Amino acid sequence: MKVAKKLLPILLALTMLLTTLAACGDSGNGSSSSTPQSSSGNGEDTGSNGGEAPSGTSAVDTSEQVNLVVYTFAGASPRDMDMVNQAASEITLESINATVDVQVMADWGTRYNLALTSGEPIDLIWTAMWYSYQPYAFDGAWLDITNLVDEVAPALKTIIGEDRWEISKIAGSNYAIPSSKNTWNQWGVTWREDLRKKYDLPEIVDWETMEAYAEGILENEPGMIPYCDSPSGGLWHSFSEKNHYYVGLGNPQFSYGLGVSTDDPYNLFVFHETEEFKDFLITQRRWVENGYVQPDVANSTDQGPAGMLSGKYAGYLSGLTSAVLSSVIVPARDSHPDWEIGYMNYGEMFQWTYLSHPTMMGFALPSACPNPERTLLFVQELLSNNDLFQLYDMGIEGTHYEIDENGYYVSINDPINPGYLQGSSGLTNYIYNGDAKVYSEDYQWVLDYEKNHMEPYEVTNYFEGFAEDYTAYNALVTAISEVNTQYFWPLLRGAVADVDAGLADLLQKLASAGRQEVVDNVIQQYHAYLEAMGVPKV
Amino acid sequence: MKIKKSRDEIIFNVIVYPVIALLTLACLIPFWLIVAASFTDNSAIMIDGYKLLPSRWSINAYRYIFAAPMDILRSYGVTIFITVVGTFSGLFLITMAGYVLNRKDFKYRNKISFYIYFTTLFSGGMIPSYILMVSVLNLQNNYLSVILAGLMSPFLIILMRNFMKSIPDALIEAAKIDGAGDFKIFTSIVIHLAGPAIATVGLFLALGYWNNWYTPMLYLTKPKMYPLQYYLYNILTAQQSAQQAGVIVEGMDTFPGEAIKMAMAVVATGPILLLYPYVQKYFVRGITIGAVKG
Amino acid sequence: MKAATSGKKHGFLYDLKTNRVMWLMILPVLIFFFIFSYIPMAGVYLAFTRFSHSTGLFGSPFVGLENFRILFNQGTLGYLTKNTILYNIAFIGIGNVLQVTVAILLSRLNSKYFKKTTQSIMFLPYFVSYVIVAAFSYALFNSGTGIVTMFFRNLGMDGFAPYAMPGIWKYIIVIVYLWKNIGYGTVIYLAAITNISDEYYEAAQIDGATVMQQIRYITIPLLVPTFIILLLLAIGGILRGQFELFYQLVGNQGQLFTATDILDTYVFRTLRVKFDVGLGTAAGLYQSLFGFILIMVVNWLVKRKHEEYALF
Repeated sequence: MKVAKKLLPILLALTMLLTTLAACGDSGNGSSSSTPQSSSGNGEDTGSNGGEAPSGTSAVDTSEQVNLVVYTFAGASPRDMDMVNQAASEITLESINATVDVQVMADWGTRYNLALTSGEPIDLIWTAMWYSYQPYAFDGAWLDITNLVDEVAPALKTIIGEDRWEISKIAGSNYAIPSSKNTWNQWGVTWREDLRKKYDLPEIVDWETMEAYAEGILENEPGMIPYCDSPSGGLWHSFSEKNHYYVGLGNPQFSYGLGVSTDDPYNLFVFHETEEFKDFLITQRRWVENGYVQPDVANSTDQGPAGMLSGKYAGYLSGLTSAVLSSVIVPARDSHPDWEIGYMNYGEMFQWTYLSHPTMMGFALPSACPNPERTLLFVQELLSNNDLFQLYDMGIEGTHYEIDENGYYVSINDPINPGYLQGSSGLTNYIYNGDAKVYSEDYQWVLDYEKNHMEPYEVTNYFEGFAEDYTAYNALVTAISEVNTQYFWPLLRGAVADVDAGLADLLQKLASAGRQEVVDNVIQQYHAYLEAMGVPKV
Repeated sequence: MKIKKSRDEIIFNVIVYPVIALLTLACLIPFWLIVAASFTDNSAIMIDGYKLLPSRWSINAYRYIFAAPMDILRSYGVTIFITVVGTFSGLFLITMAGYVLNRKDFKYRNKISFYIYFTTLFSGGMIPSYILMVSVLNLQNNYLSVILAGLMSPFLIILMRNFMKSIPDALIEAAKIDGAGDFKIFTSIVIHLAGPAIATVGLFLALGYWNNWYTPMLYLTKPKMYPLQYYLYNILTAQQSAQQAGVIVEGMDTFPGEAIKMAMAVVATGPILLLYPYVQKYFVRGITIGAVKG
Repeated sequence: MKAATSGKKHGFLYDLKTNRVMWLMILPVLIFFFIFSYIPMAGVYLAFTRFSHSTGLFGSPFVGLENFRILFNQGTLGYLTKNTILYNIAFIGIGNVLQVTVAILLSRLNSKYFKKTTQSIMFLPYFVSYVIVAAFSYALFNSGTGIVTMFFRNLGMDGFAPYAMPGIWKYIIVIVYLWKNIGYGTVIYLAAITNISDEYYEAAQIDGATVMQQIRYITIPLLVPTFIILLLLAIGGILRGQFELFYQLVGNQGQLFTATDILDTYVFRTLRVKFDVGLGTAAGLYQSLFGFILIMVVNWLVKRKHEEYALF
């Protein structure tokens, strides 16, 4: 026993050490329950009305303080996120007796699925259509809030607009909070206007002139690559606009090769077989061969904005309007004052634009949400309480930002190590309080651009809201997606030398993967969707 | 007892020294490129590529990193804490296990070895482990989750067991006859003789903790708690993710460039490289086991 | 093995009592694995369910071997298994041989300074994250200004474009793997070598043995146990791959997949289309079973020849 006596204390010490560590972690989940619950779709209304509750919430018991956990996506987490959460919690404690913990996910690849599947207690989570929002809805990952909103936070319907809630329905139910913001999510081309003028190259208005610019750069600026391409497609992002039909239907996007035009919404056709598609592939291949874009795009880690600013590239092909402003135009002013940046959105270029669907990117309540009513109240609060919204949008006044005499947002963050940049919570771009939003002076350019160059060409967006339920033919979808990775994308990036053979290969492989059966199903569902929306047959 | 170098030894040296030197160079050059790139102006990297000497010297990358010294220092602190605690605890337990599994009079050692090894073959996957850690044990945002996740490695236990095979049974027998208890044998004899083994396993354990970003990604959601590698990984991939999404954060124009990625790699690796030579002496010159007669 | 004597006297409880100190010493490890490995292992049953968020983890319907049928039906499982195994054989086989060789060579050198420096430097690749490896590989292999590309083009091979040539990637991947792991593996062998008593070498030298003979008759035989153990440890994971290595080097370059795709990358892509826990776990179970059967067979074979070399 003597030896055991010696051993036991050591083991005990070890256990104590490890247990002490258990206490010395930062488990920030306050008083929220730690076991996953599956809530029913109905709100729990108790008759009693404990504590202060804002109007419209008389059905909700707010006597117990809860902690709301919100997962957003915005790249890296801002340094002062905790500070902002604390300040925000002061407001929400008073109004809805809840503290808020907004956490910004950077790596949503693994954690997103994991958190949802394991039933982690999250109250509100970011969603995106291009990140399986719709399949998750069919699968029951989101809480059905159709009735809950009416019961608990009817103001949400009025603020966001009944029509947006209507078109956001999937199979008759609302699963996400529709965005109240008008977003134009199309891409555009950026170039060096100063170089274009210098070498007297034609104004950029279409593919031919883009090529002329590229040729001019290659001739006159040796070593410079005309355009920075992106692995997810550069020129490809103008294909839709050029031909005036949408090509993103399918899981994942573009997989089935279906196109639909607003002139003839019920007619779904396979764009793989069209002349325009072949023409595009040939153009893309020519661009790669002539060196208009960097080689081997799929493996390139170069990004457009950084590429342009460094002087390696004379333009890039996949820029969202606001992104171009913040990542190219504004920095170039400081680092290269002699430059002039040109930009044209493909929507303007081909005169075919559409507003993003309200649930393209947004927020939903996971089915394991511990506090659904309080969460909806929080969203309502964000949209009606300007102070709260501005806190999450811009940070703390005086520490992170100022409002200048013209009413514009000015960041007073340390430029190298900012505490809280506008929008860095990832929350306020989608839960958008138009009244409270303050833009920076530079951003006015984006607003003007959208008003003058995008709005005039708007067509109705019938397509993005379509939710395909592919649970019945899941295996086929996976097979098709695999075929696309191997055959479609290389073609798209101009990596295949013989375009004809590559295209034939693709079509043949898709056929044997069962594309036809999937397409038949999709057409059926899509027609039903259009009819439910009341879209007239042409 | 030095014996004059024989001819074959000289031939051996003539061939081997250059071969090893070449291999070493192949390992050194990429790292050198990283260091050089970290001192290069970002635009120069994009245009000129990776060079052995910076084409345009700049310490902007380091300035960027150390502009938030608190963040870096804190994540250093976190990493060191996790590594030290994890390594010492794990090493202690693994060494004991290796010793016990080696004792021939421990009848169940083969069964237990199998019990341990089996865990490397089958696994329930990410989800059950995640649920266990987060929901059942409630260890989210607790350093214990990261420490526990890396504490036991069947690979290291079996390695330790095998290293200990070289300790002659006779020694242990002798001690037992002298009346020493099992634990006493462990502390007074085995630990001293298993020097290289303990150093090796300790090093691997420490490296595992130091380089690990995966379990922090899963279990730590507060940026203030991020260990160094995850802090670095975050910056590297946040850019990729945002790019794929086309997400705009107003004012998000200064994504760290290539130079900063390189500088962060240097910063994250530095300290452990300093540790290594210190531990290395156990491998290069062994501890000879003395006379084992009788 | 139960002692062949009568009665409970020599059973399990008896062993607990006599060897209680040793049991106590190994108890934490046993408990640890029970909690963190065996309990979650129950999740394997998910491989036989059709998971859906509405039914949750514990309520999803049992579908038997459906998930496996889906995996096998793709037809790709065959070449994925082949790729994964072949790559692993290359990694394990060539890797270990290289590491043993380097360790032996290093141990024979006399200059302490040289030995220490080279060994430290050889460890550096281990610290280079695969993300950076990907950036370097683009710089080497891109068909525009890639260094390796230019090199081969200068030799006259005009059409050399690595990213469009699936055939060469097996070499690239193996070389990168070897490069990355050389330091790590050498350490293990070096530690084992230091355990070999100097007396053997001195005696051999007195007898007039050359360096090569010493290596052949002393060092190598004494390293065999370690070599075998490392091999056995690796075999169980033969169907698991170095995900990061493949993912970062090859990325989404679809044309290279037939030559470079392994089970892990394929499952990763499939799960990205729709995250399906059942499918993912089924794939993992397939890898586990394969490795399990293989190691049981190999371990048994090894045990027959040299009991002490076996894993268990």
